[in-house]
Amino acid sequence: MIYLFLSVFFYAIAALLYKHSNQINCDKLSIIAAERISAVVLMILFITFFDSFKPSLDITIIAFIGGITIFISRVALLASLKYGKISSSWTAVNLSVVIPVIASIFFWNEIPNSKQMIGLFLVPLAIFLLQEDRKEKKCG
Amino acid sequence: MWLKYIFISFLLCGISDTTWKMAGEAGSDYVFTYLLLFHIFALVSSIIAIIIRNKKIRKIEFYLGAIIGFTLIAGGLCSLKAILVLPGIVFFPVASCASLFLVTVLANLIWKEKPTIRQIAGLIVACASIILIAL
Repeated sequence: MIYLFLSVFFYAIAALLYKHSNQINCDKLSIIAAERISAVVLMILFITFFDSFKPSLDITIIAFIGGITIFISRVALLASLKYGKISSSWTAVNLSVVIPVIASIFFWNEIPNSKQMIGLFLVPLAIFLLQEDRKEKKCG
Repeated sequence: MWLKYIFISFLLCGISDTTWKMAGEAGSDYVFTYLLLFHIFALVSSIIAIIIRNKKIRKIEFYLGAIIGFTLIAGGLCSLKAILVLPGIVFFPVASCASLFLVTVLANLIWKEKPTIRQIAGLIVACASIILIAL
């Protein structure tokens, strides 16, 4: 259970630090580069002590696609913080879990049950609701 | 504008998450190799973008970014540990919803970011969606 709490805590801290970096006008690209330097160093340490490096062409191609897409995703997330609240942006990005679920349907023939289907259909509604209310913003 | 950026982030983060699933399908032996390569490619992309835009990383940006990187990796490793003892059906909805609520509460306390009623409704629908997808 402690790991669950720590996981929640660390991810929340990361989201708040993204917001803080935006508040103090940090450059988006610099933040992401520094973030990834730290991640690479930690992963090298982890692999050195607890695992081994087993590269293959398939894994390299998959990691290449994943690395580039997460980089652009983070740039867009940081850009979105200028126009909306961190709680809304973080929630919307967390909802991206639906995309692997949809991919699983097409690529691995994993059929979602009725509850999962309802969950999938609720995602666009959630993102729509999370948008800043224009009228309210004007009044504020 | 928010919707445009968040849609790009949502879509690409989802594609990135799908590559995690693909790596998992390739076998558990490759997971950490995939993660290292994943971060290396993200780092290379950001360095190329920095060079093209002729930017310099300031000290504050480096420290802040490094802490964010540490929290993301630590969060990921804690998730991996947690998933070994908790069923996924419990872990994913609890971790996702708790993270969303913690961020909302802390952003309210620190920056007085009070969510509107519409956004609270969005948060509730998002949590319901995550719970249903994890079931």
